[in-house]
Amino acid sequence: MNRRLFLKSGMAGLGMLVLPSLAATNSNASLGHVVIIGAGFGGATAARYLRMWSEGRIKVTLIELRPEFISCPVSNRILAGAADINTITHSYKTLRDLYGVSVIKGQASRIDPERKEVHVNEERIGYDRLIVATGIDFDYSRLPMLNAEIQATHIPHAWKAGPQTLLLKGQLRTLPDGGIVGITIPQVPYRCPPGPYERACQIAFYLKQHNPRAKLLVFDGNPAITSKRPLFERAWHELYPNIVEYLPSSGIENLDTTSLGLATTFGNYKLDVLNLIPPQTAGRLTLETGLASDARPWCDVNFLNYASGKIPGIHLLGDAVDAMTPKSAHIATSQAKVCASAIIAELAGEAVDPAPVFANTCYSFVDDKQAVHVANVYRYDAKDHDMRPAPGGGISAISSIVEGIHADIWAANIWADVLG
Amino acid sequence: MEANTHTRTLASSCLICHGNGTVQHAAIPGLAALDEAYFIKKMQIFRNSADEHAVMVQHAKGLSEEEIQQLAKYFSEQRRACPVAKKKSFREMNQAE
Repeated sequence: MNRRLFLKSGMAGLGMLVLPSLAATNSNASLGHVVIIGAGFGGATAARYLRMWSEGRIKVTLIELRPEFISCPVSNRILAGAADINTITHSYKTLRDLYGVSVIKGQASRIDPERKEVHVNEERIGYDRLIVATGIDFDYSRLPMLNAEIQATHIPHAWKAGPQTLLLKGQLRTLPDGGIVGITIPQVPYRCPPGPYERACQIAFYLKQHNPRAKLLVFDGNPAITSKRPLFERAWHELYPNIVEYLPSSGIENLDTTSLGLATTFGNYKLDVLNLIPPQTAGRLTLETGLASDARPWCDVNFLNYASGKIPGIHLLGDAVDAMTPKSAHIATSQAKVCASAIIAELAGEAVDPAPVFANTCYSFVDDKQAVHVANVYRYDAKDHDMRPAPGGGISAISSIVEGIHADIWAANIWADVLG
Repeated sequence: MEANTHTRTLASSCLICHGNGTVQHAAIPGLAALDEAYFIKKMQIFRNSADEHAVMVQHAKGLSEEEIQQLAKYFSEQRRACPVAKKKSFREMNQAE
């Protein structure tokens, strides 16, 4: 594998990301074995950058249940018909063949921090460092009428892209003429703050073209739009004035999962399609392993290396991290790079960057072509031990086709950065 | 480590929009092999801009002068790769003639 890695990298011409020659390295120079659970934006980025920046000296095993990478960013556009599932589905082949990451298809069922082992597919895999990047799970504790099976069959969340996205898309296409669609948004924090509002735009865009008498009710558990607020307000007002109705501070009081009768804080509604995005927690495995913060279902970390605040030898990345930063794909990849750099330094006995800085840029489409952005630099605050927004960050002035083009480039480049 | 890890991590976070050094997407320029002084000049223009809604103005204002200088040096030392040719190469075209 090392020889192949070396040969291929010589031809690949990856500019600044060119893989160094591994010819001079040998197994004696190995810095250790890092096991990563979850190959989403955080986990896959960590795998690639650990291999690249350690110059092949760290062995990386990546455990993932899904055979292919499916991107949540861009998935909302499938609802409008502006993208399809192939657009957002990508292979782990390059990570495996070019970067020498050992990819195991399976569900990690248990972490044993004492023995430093992960249980997967009836096997136990030992690690020097473990990275848990398992994303989110859904919390049905205050929605006793709901469960994963109901969401899988007729009340989709579509908050993990793939079959759920296609289920919701199909429901929109068989919506009766003049029918009513509902989206419910949980209270913060949840994955992808602007995601539900972009979704409302994408569903409204579809309805405007194909079912213009239909209505879209947006039941927000928050008192106001949580991200890019003036831009979404303007999009709904200007592009979808007769379709989108926004209902802030709307908690779910009751739900008949058969008739789709929904009772919220402010009224009763009968829906034809319900996209219910439930409250979220860090992935179940992190909670079962005892990695969560004391009073919150998210995981506290050291932002210099993303080491767990609870269990030594374990690092956490992405949406599961209890942080001030938004739960975005760009943030997950940046965390992964800080983490990879720190693990390499620690295993090599070198100094870790005492003040990491990274950027976040996130685009949302308001129709089939126009997008808006939010951008910020985040900087480590040594006093608060947290990543804090640097001055200057903000959002677009207006939606534009130019930003739509930028958003498409962002997607192509982030997928290439994560997966090689 | 060859590069300062602080700069390396920050630079890698720019790649999410700017790409890894190929020149596939002209609307967002690649950063690899950019002239050091040109990069600094562009970033100074962004930092001093009153267009508070422009994405690069927002990023440039969040960086320190030192970070901009380090990024300029870092990117200038990268190699810019050519995208994979989808059409015939010049040599193939010449051979055909």
